[in-house]
Amino acid sequence: MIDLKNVERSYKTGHTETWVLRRINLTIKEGEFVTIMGPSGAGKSSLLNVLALLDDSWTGEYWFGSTPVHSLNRKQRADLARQRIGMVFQSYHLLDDLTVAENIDLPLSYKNLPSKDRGGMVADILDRFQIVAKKDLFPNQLSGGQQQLVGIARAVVHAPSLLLADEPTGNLHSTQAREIMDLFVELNKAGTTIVQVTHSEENARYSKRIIELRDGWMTRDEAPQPLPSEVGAQ
Amino acid sequence: MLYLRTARPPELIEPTIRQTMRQLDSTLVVDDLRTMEAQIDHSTSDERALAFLAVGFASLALVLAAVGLYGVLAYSTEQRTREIGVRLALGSPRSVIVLLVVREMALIAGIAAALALPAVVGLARLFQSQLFGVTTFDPLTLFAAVVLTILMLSIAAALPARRAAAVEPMQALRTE
Repeated sequence: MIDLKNVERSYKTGHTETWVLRRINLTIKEGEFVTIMGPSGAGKSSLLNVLALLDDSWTGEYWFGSTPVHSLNRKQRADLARQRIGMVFQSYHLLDDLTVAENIDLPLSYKNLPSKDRGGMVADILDRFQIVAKKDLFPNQLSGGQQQLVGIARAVVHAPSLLLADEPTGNLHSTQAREIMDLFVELNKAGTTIVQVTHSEENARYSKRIIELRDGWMTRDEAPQPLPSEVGAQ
Repeated sequence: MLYLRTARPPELIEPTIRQTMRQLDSTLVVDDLRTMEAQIDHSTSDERALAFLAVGFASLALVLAAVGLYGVLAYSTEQRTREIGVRLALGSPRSVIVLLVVREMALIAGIAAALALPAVVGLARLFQSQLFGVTTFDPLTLFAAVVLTILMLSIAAALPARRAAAVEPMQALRTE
């Protein structure tokens, strides 16, 4: 589904060039659940921004299915992202002056869908995420976990084939975090390819593959290790 | 004061007038000879100065209003950077972001118009008695005022709208 070949990204400050991604070669198959880990400043979020098509200033090749993203212009990339990618943020990034239902409707409103269809899709997702009762509330009336639930609902309402999550549980209590990770597993089982960035080993174990970055280089790419307690149980 | 009518160009008969006056009474001084146009011009100079002053103040008010609107929109755009970043990250075309700013400008302009139009109607009655040859509801003047206002509003909104459309979602979402 995703193929990165020699992707590099750097920032120029004065005469100095700081590299945040170095020669990234990465293939993510459809239906995978991938975790990107690494210390702060390793380039995790930079890689996620490249995958999300939020960043244009990288070099190398990026294939999204059969689409050569590296050959697309800014508008074409935005169109591709709008159709195929959903994004979940650590700080939820819900719009404060919109209700839960309006926040979820936001990505649909940019897709030229009839408002009746949009209403139906929003109603379906509210029902699926069991937040129908919250639909008229504003984000500041919700707990952190509920806000992230709405953030995920907003990201998947248009049924993207790729869901990207940047520290989705970073601001949440561990119980809420587990609920969010269970939801990701459920979405992944339903066919959504997921790539998450996390610092948490526990959250990483929900995925099928862990990629580690250090100083912009990809240093590990393997299946998550089971906990010693899990090994003992087997 | 003496008024004379002539079919010839007025400046040509000035020596004749002086000569005739001298013949009537040599002690009479002929001073401040003017054509009728110059006389009318002289008598309305105060009103004209007042009109120039009013146009000057109106222009200044228009520029100040535009600068004020620019300030409000620029501040509001700055405050909405995160929202713009979120919208772009969720797939909003940049043209929709420009429309956000334009819509805000239209809202401000609408409120201003709702306050200004009744004031124009009310004040027009006060000025009716002081006008000659023009009405207080001159369609051309009102139309020109509306066009000028729209032009100034568009100029004031252009820069904030351009800034909003240039927001990079990656950076906007990082600034929190």
